Amino acid sequence: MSSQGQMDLVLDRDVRDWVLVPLTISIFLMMLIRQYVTQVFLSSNPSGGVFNPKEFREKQIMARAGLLKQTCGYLSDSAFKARKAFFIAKDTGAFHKKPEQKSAQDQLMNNPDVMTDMMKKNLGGLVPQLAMGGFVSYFFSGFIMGRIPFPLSPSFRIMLQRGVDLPSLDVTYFTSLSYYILLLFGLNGTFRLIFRENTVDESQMMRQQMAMGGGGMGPMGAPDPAKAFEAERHALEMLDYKWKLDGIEQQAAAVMQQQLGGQPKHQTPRKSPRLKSA
Amino acid sequence: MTLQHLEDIREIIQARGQRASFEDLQTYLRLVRELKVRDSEVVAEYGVLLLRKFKKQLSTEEELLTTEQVATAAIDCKAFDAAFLLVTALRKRFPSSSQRTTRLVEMYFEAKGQLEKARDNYITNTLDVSPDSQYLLKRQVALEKTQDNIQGAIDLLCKYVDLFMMDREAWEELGELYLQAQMFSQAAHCYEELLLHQAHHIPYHVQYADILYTIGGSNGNNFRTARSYYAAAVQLSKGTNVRALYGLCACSAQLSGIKGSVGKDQEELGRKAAELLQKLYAARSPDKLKMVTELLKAQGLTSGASTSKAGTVLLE
Repeated sequence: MSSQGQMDLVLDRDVRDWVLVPLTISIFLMMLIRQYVTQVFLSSNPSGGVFNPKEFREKQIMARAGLLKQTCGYLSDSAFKARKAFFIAKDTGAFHKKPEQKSAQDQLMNNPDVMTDMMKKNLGGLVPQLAMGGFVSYFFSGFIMGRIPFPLSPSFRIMLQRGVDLPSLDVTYFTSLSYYILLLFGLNGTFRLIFRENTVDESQMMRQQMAMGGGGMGPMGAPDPAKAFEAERHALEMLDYKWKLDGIEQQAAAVMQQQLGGQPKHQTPRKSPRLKSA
Repeated sequence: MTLQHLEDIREIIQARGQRASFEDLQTYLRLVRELKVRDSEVVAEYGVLLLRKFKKQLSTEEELLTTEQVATAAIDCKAFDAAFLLVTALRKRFPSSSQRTTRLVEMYFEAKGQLEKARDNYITNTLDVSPDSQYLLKRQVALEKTQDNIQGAIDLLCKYVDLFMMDREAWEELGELYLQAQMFSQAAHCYEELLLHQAHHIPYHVQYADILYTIGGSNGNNFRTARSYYAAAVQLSKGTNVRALYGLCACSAQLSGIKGSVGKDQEELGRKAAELLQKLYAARSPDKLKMVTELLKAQGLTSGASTSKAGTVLLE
């Protein structure tokens, strides 16, 4: 809504023909190009899919230790001790070895491929964006292109009226530069319609990078494997082993008595207590 | 998406014979894949029909999946001509490096009995390209087993299990192989691992107890542990697992010869198991009752009184 004293602006028809349409088309084309380029990049180096048996084995060992912690009550004492020894025996135990698996930090430091990959990805996103930004501000800056049909507070001026520095202009008018930025981030949904799941999502990538920079966690959010080993070892050392089949004979006798249906000879029939589920 | 659904579709297709519709055939094969049913003859017949008549209508992914499925089924029921065509088609599409085609080719040769060829195919493709493929390692174990080379199969499976330790079925297979080779303590280890995976699975309890009982020993420790697991199986099955009941009887009989190991309760356990066994036999299979009673009498677990009691049950 324009304020009382202001007149509505009349926009030249040429602005539509020579700015709005070409700008939209060029943005669309640029995004298409970027999409294909990234696809080519991604398919040319299928990194991360390599199966590393040592790392895999370590993960399996962790899982197996978890299993032991959960259901050790069903093992006899000697069997449990043998397993415990497999995991935490001095020098030979699986959790005393140095993990093959690298922490995310180490991976970054030691593996130049990871770094270059990240660089490539970043540059791949950044370079065309810079070029496009320059292109747009060179050819299309300074035009008022349209008007938003609802009122806004003046603080939106920076967002909507980039490239036109007119304090007296009503906030609801937006300029070509702002339109460009809007499309750049807003077209993702449209692209997803066209490419289904393979769309390169700019904002997704940004969020990932933010998360990476922010916490001490690696790109996958995986904790340091050496520490995980240590923790698992302590957990196993502290594990309180208790045989769950203790007294199972009496329980079984009670169950059989119930099945026989006869009168108990020595003891009153107990209601058969069940094994506690793990 | 249940077996009932599968059965319905199969009947529809059967009624229509050669004129079965594309949708029905497709759904049938898809259901078989998802439910992991093994019905190779039917799958081979309908699959070949689908691939012959409606190949163009399938999406590429589904076409490949179906081809693999039908090829496996054809190999399974020894329809080698059909299998050959399908396997060659897949192999043409994915030359050499694909694990799945390698597996198929190997299965084809193995089914035809050309074990040397299967082994060669395996060696050239696996050891170089994908030495840690779960698929192919398992196939290799199966190949050794086909050749009755139990020791070889055990060695390979040990290697496999060392890497894929959470594979429950592999542990089970390894346990069975050890039993075949009569390596009982190793087999016991496998079944312990299985108990960790599924602590409430009755057959594992029984099997593990069987193994411990077989190992035996003069101090009776293994018998006592075995008795506990038999008791657990009895308790879990509410006394319906006959094998566990026999186990309890046998353990009691063994332990009665060992001093200081039999308490009042334990003695009671064996007698109750014997009684319950007699009752079960009297109800379900009366003609064998006499045999069972003889056996139990030999184990010293039953007296004349309980026999007559079982007899009265029989008369009723």
